[in-house]
Amino acid sequence: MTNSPPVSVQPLLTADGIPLKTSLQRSMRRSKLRAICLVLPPLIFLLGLFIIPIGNLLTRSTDDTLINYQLPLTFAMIDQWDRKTLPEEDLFEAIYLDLSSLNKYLISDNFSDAVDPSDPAWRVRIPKKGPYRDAMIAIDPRWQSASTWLPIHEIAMVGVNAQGTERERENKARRAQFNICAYLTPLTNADCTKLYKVLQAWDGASAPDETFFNALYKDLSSANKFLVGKSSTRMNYGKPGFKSLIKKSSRKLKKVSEPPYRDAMIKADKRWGDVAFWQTLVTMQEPQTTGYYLNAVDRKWNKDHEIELQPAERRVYAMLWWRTFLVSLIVTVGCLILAYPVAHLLATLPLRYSNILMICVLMPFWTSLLVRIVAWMVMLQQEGVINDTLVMLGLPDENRLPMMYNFTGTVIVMIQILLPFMILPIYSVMKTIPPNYMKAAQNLGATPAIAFLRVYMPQTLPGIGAGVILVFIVAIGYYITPELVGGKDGRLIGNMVAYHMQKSLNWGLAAAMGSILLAGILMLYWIYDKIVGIDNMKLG
Amino acid sequence: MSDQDFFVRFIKVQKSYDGETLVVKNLNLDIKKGEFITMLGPSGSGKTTCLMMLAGFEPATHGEIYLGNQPINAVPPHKRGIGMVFQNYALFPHMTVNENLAFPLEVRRLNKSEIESRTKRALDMVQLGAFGNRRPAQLSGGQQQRVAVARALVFDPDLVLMDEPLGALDKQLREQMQYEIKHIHESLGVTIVYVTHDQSEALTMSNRIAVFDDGVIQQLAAPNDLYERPENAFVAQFIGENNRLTGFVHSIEGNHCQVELDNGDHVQAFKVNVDAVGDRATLSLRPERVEVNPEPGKFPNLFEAKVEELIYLGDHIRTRASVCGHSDFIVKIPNASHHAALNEGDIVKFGWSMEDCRALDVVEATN
Repeated sequence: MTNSPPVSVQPLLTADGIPLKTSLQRSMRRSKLRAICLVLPPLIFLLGLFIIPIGNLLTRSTDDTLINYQLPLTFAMIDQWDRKTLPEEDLFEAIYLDLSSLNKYLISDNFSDAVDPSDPAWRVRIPKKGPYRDAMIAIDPRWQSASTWLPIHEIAMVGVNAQGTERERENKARRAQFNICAYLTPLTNADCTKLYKVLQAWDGASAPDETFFNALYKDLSSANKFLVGKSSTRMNYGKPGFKSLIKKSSRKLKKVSEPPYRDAMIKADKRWGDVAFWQTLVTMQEPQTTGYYLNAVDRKWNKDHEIELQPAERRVYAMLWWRTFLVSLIVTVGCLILAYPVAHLLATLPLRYSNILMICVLMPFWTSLLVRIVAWMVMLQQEGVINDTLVMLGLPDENRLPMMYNFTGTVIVMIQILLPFMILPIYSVMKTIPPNYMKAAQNLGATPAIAFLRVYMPQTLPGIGAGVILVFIVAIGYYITPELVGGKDGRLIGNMVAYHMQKSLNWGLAAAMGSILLAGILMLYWIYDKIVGIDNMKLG
Repeated sequence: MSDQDFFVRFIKVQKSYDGETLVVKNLNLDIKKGEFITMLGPSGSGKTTCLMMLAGFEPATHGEIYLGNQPINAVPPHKRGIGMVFQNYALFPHMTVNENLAFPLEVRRLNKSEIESRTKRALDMVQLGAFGNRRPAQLSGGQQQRVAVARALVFDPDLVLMDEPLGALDKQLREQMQYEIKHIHESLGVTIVYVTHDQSEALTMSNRIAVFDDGVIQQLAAPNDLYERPENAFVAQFIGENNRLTGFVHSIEGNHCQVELDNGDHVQAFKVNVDAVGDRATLSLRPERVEVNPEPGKFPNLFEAKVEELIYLGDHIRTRASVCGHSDFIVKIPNASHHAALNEGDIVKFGWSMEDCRALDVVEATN
């Protein structure tokens, strides 16, 4: 059409006079709609089960807001401190108030830059035995108006008005109690039972009386204990011993109600007199932290906001990363060496034999992972099949090889488990290479070895690439095998992630490690794309 | 001609894949230097197996193969120095055209400038000088074919094998390539062994054609001999079109015989491979050698025929008629200015000479 002169400037019309483009769009709309409908479920699946959790993981690995909720006044004032000498009375007062008083929950805007240390509300004391009303209103007068309580009331009424079976109503009521606490504090797992009870009976208009404030005080007190516990755990990541310091001093400080706080706190626990603990607090000031990431590579912030190595006895992760990388590399290379000839056999044997071989390859795939690992334990242990055989063949009994609960065991078992991931992509590529190429190469004068290296192998590269990437990615995050046969020096980073998720509950660190793994894999993918090209990869 | 003059010799070669059936039965074939020889036959006739044995990809079960007076049974393929064009070209897909052509030179450790000049020469020979940096997948079928030919020739082999190299091309391109390969053969003087199942290809290009069937060479002859003087019924039927009349040998005189057809008519024929009076025989007669309404006395064989069907084919008119009890008797009437004008249902006379009607053995008719 480009060479022929334009027949008319008007758009092309169909026989009915409708513009061709409109007609085309209309005819395509149905199939487009159908295509979208087909794509939608996996898209939702991907979004819900993959992208959102990963996003959550990423935010969790840098999230440091909790401690900012706990210590608003301290963090607002710590900038004035010289970071070298022991802080003055005002900073001691600030941390005392942050840990023990409830004022931070009652002041409407108390987070981050909005904190005003000069506000007298911070220093209003709420008498422990009550009455609470006047003191709380003195902290923030908005509490005396019913409108401040209305949103809390609404949350409570969701629980009260719940329909359904008794069990369902009970669940709704408990959820409402949690939601009230989540509204008042940064905590999602504290429950405000007393407020819930009081607000149930409220009409939503009359002025809140002492019972309201009583409930508020009690619920916030228990929530605060919770928050102190959590944030002291976080402080402990910054400097070991912080948790016990907070625990011990908050117990003793209950009796202290008068300034000067500095002497009282140092008396309660002399670690308050150690500048190092205060310097650690400085590193937690920002609501976003890179501390977890630094921790995951054995580094930390020091008081002058510089990155430095962890003390020698706390350096574990760098070695683990290196070991994880090494194991993945050895497993990948081992799999490649073992898989290549098998894949070649699979692709070239007559169908009858290759089918049997294929079943042999796939059989372990269908067997439970646990069963396979236990089978390997039987093989590898000191009194196991391999050692017994070696002893029978003349190995001295006392020289039995240690092949389990160490590096070797992890590598051997992982190679066996991941082998099919290498065989299958290579096989699928080899299957498509006609035997003619090898013949042609030899006919042109190449020895079988050169023909293989220069003609056959380059054509299997897409399969090798796919297999290598697949095995390496699976190996680098592997968890169950090292857990069962790894022992002390066969542990990988995956085991550490699991440990911090399940045992130490340091999710921030676990998330940071996970994110580093993810970044590593993406980088690998990128490098592969640069060198080989991702469109060259054939997964089957 | 002594044995020493032959470049390739198959001596009593047999081949079996499973130890039960012979794919190639007692093959003897001598090929002269510079000859273009074609192995022609239906699929499964053993022709490709012979080629593979010559290239070294299949070992001969029995017998000897000589190349330039050296027995090569024990020589691995890469040491035979034979060029080959494969059925689907087998151009290495991960290499450019230049790299494909340089491959045989590189494995022979030629120096760089030599490789470059030879590659260029070979590419120019097949008129693809500008395509050196393309990958095979970026070329058309015909271009790939040329590259394959160039690659088989680039290292100056004395013998080039071609295994149905034109099978994947369309008709027009195939004919063009036939001439090109023929010209390359003539200008380079290499020996070419060519395998095909396409008889027109074989007739166009070859010096000699070996017609294969059932693992045996049925006839080895020059194209015109093969067409004009088939030695048995299979060859007569396989090469070109052919009318077959069956009957018994009635009498034999010298190199002529008289055959009594199944309907009782007697035909004078040229005796080729019938042995004795009373044997079954197949008479083979080319459709273009039959004359319609000939002058009386011109031919010893003159029979009445009924025209059943006329098909206009431009240069000739294909006529199907009933003659001597056969209703599928074909005659090609040339579309010359004075050709006989026939109508369906006409009764006419068909005549043919004794020399054109060849008395052959009987094949178990399969088609």
